[in-house]
Amino acid sequence: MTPLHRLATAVAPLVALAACHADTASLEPIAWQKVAGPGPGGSVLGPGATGDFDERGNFTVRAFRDVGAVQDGSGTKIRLYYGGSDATADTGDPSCGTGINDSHWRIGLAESADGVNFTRVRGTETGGSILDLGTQVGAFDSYLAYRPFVLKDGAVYRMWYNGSTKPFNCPPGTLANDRRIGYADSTDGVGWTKHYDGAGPGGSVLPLGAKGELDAQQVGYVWVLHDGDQYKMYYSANDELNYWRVGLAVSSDARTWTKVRGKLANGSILDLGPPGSFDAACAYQPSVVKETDSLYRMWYRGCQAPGPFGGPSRGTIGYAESNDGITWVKIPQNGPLGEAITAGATGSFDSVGLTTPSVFIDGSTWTMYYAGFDANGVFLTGLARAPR
Amino acid sequence: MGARLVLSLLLAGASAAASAQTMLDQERHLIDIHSLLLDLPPLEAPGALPPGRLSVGLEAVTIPRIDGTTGTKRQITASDRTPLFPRPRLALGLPAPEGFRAMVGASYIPPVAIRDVSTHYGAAEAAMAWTPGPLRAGLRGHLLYATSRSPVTEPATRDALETWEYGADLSAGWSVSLPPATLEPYAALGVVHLRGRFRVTSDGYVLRSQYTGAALDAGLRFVFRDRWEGVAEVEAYPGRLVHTNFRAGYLFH
Repeated sequence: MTPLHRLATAVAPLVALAACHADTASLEPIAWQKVAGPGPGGSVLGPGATGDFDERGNFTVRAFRDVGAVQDGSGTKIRLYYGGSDATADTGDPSCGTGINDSHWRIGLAESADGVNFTRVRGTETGGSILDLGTQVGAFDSYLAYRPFVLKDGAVYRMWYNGSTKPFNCPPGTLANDRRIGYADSTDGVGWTKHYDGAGPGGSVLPLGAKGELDAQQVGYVWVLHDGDQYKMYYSANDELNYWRVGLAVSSDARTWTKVRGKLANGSILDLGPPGSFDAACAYQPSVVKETDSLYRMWYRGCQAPGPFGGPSRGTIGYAESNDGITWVKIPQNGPLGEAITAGATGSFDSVGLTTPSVFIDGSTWTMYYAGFDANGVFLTGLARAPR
Repeated sequence: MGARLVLSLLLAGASAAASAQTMLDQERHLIDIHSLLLDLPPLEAPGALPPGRLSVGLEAVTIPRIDGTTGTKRQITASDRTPLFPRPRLALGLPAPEGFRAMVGASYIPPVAIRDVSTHYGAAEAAMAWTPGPLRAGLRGHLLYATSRSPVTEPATRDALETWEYGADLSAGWSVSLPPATLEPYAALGVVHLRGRFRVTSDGYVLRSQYTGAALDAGLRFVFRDRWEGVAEVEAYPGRLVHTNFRAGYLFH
């Protein structure tokens, strides 16, 4: 071999590798799979018994695995807190129909060992609920009490919930225009004490924002993290144009809250998507999991277009990530428009839309409970899981 | 045969699938890649410097295209700014027992801003080589500390990346005499550990990454008249980065 050949042999690999590159990481969406339950249309919790607080449906859920504090003392079960609709029609307005629109909503509890088959825990309040409507004069939750978010915080169960003085979408086209955030606490997660001592209207937790702010009209659908020495409240905020986004408030004691203005539209931390996206009309009802110090995950309800009467309609579940729990980036998932989960097939309980995702890590499995509804406006609870 | 083996190893490393599930993984990969670009590679054949020989060189570190996508955002990466950056480097041959050669080296980059990017960089290395004849084998340790300021999250800001890095490698080379020149192909296999700390200036958020991985190097040293030196090297960090380094130097006797 001549010296020239030697040189060529040595240089050839270098030339071949001249196409250098950097291996950046690719995203891998979480592979959610719906789990059919024993309830109607594959739901995991069907309607309650006649006369009960949840006779017409259950919705707006929050679930988590509760270790060591269940009714039968068996150790650990999944607790599902939910809003339920009774069969009252107090408004007497026939245009409101026979669904959930002019009925009263209260809060109930069901438990499960396997996460699929649930047993209701009958409370001592009206119709077997565990949290009733406010009865004092001027109570902000005199007509509706729903969407419970329960945080087991040491020895205390803390509940934040939606309250309203008016029925939902009755007469049609009004939706609920008085939603506020209530607070209650408990030592066992079943018997609750309400507190009407917040800074919001009627002693609710959060005051409304000023004109032009993201929360100028309504607040609700909260998710609270106990994050180090701080509580972070992710709350749904409704502006004067009836758009729902996500806002943030923080607290050192879980009782007194300070709003943190976000960088996005009207001070939000999660904004609507661009026209045509699955969350162009609403992005709210956050469910937040802090997985590591620098990884926060959020699932939320997105609406592609306003309903025929204004406000959000239908709904799918979207997904976002954050390093600090404050600045969020939406991450496309496996759905046709980047959704994490979409409505089910015809005949399923969630064939029209999804609301209120509630996600937690259950060992090596991501677990999401959510509310779904069909073309008849019946709301029931569903389950989806994904490998972690 | 040796070159084929090295080539196979490098290609295997280069094609290693880099997969992740979250935006955080993407961000940490970017920290790793930008930190590894600063790594102090061998860029020299083992036992290249006899005692008392001083090598003064200027190196060019090439930057491949780096995709700055994190989630649905796009960060500004080093490759958006420049295809390469220069690095001055000194190496001095030390006294060593018969049949061995030893050296120490250092590199320093002052914090001068070029195209909105400044890097304050210091690195050091020490190596020992067994040199019984044309075939040589070496052991080297190296460490560096660097702070870089550049627009990453937004064009108008100056975010900061702080990097601690150390590593070691084993190398083997062959010295071929072609008067008045000498050719020395070499290859090295090492391990590197880095700690990167990225701070977003706009909100003060700090993101950290730690990475430990293999470092594979293959290069060719060319020495002319025992004075002028040129080195070309391919460096691979499997799953993170494959790039080239070049060196032009002068040897003081």
